[in-house]
Amino acid sequence: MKTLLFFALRNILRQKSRAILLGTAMALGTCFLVIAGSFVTGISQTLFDRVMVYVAGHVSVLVGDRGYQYRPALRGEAHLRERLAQLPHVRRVQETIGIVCRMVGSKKSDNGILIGTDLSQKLTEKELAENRDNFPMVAGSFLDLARPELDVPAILSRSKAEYLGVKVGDPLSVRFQDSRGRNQVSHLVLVGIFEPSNSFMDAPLFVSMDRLKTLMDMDSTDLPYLYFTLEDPQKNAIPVADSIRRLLAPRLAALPVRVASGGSFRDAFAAGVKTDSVSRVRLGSQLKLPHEWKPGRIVLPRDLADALHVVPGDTVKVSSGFSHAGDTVLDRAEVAGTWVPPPGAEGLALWDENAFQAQRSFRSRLPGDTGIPQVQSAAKTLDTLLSPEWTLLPRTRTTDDVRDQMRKVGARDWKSPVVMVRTMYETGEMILKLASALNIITLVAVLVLLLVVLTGVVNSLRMTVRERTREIGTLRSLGMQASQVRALFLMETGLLALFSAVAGTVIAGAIMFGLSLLTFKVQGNPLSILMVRGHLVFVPGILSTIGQILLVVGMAVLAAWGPSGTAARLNPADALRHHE
Amino acid sequence: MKKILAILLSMAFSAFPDQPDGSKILKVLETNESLRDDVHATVSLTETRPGQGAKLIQCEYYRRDSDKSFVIAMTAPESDRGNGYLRQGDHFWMYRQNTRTFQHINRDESIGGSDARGQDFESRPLTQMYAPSKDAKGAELLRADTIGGVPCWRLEVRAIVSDVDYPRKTFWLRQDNLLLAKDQSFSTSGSLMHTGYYTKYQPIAGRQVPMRQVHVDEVEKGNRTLVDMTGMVVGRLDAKIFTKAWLESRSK
Repeated sequence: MKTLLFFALRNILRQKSRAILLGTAMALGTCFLVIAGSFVTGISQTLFDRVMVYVAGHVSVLVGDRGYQYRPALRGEAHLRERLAQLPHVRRVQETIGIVCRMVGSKKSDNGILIGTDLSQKLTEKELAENRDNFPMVAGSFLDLARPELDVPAILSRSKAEYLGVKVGDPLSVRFQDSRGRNQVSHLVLVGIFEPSNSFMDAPLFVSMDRLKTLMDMDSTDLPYLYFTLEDPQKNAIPVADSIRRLLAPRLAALPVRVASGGSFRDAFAAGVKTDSVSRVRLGSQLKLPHEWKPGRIVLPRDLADALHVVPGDTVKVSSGFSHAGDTVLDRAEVAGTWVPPPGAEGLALWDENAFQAQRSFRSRLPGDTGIPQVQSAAKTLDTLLSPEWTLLPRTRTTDDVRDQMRKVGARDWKSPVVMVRTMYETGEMILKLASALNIITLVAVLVLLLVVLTGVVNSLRMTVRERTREIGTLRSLGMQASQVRALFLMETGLLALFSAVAGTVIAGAIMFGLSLLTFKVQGNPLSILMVRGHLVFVPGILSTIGQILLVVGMAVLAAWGPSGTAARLNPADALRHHE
Repeated sequence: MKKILAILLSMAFSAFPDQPDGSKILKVLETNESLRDDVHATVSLTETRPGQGAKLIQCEYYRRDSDKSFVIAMTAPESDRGNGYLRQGDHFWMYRQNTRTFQHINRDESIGGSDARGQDFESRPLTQMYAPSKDAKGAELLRADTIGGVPCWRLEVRAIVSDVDYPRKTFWLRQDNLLLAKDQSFSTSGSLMHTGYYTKYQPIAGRQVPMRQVHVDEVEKGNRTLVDMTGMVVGRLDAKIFTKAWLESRSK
């Protein structure tokens, strides 16, 4: 083996010009392969780590209130966040609110996205550095969002600030719809301006999360969207999303209510009952109701109805507490009939799901609110007629699925809140497709290049075999086996390819370093999302680089297989007689 | 029947010779808004934006309140001609002529890039959404005022449910006929967001219908929309109008 290695190295050095020319071609091929691979990885990483993680998180939990896609609040369920944060591989859970808004400056108006920033989050040094990198401040600081003397401090991108004609210290009006769907206007004060790292980061208008929750008419008990940052997101995103979904399985919903008629009232619990055509028939026949079961109606426990002296057809007032604004959450319902609740469900009224869920949404949750045991007891007889706390939608696999699902969420069929769990793969499927397309294009281009190079390898080896026919004859006469002759030529090619590939990788590193220092002016150009502040991003991985080197060496050895076989099959006597 | 209703309405008006009750004013507004019959009208919206000039949007509007249906068939601008919207009960679709497809519209989805959303077309009785505001002594915030020299009642109301467009509103109604002359809408913080002027009424089928309205955006100064209704016809409309097929056939 040592002898073969010695001969192989000697032959490479003996034919310097040929080795240099062939090696240069292979080095360039490798160089291109490494640069292209690193560039595609860089784009994917930029999009995922600098765009997707902010736009959608590695995994996200999205909520919608009763068919309203853009009302991001699950009322009274903020406690879920802590439970979900305990899951393995979850590095951070961040509450997120992003609302489309209209910004009105001193010069002009423009659309933007009002985003809440949770200033209470403790970030690692690395995360802080990433934030500084993504949102380098031109004026002010992100911590200014917490300034207590201002009503609502805000931070905006430089280009938006210039367009709107505002600078630090200026007022800025913003119009948006709050979590109830009400049109609101808020007067902000600009306390900072940042330079966006890419065009995706142009639109946000940052305010502190606690202030945005107030503006949105949400309180600390309400759960907005949750974005999860994971360890090793590409591996863990899907399993973690599945675990989150399992944890978010809903129970049946209950509501403590006060039913009033005339001057008297009784406290009770209510369950929501569906009012679709099938449910109408089922409940009507099951409870033998004297009046049709339909929206706006309630079925009272018999003893409660007797105590209030109400009969089917009467109207009762149903209240369930107070709204954030302090108003009584009150509705009127027509009594469709009475029923005798099963054991454990005493005092349970059955209420039209729509009105029931609306009250759940409007009222402030109180500590100790319950009624769940009563509803669970009723579930034995009423089963699927009862309304859940929320509807957990199935997991989606593609962006198209996500789009379809969002349409369904916005449809009016949903009477209960809706919860979805997504990963970056569905949300960022377009990005993944873009990365895959770039990968394929790169691979094809590189393969064509390598094919040209390898054609050169084959030709060179054929010439070498021809030139060294007598030498082969001598070696065979001295006892070298045919297989050793083949191994010699393969080793020669393999070593040359290895040296060239390593040299090509070093050159690629130098070129990538040089290119990443260049600054491209891409302000307003969609391509800017592929860069970080105008710089190209290359991410060469150790394993992928080793793989690329092995690919080049492997292909060179494969190309050398034919000519090496020819050399091995030469008859020693004929080879010795060979003369050019 | 319509005559009887008109007489009843006029009786309601004459029942407030002095200061009327705020709740009754709201009820009158609600009655004026509701339609008992199907209606068809040509609606023109002239949107003015600072630095952008005026944009004319025109459509044919067909409405049937009995089953919460309506159709909007766009006729202008040229780029929107043939497009349309259809609502049937709880479902709302947008029709695009160039792709010949119907797309379901979410409740909170913007319509045609405008400020209007799907939910804006869901009508709810006014008295289920608002009640007269009261001062510290419990008196309704209702007083006499004038709009352009015309004596009006000025009534402040507040939302009694959470999911309304505006948490606070103020209405000005002419004292002589209790027709809405002006309204203003406020955010929770009390900022004025929108002002509407109702300048021209026309009696149609025993009802006073506002044929010209001006809507002023008070947040983005200079934005205003003039709404003109012409050719209003009240009466039973052909049921086939409120179908996807009819809307699609209009664009052929």
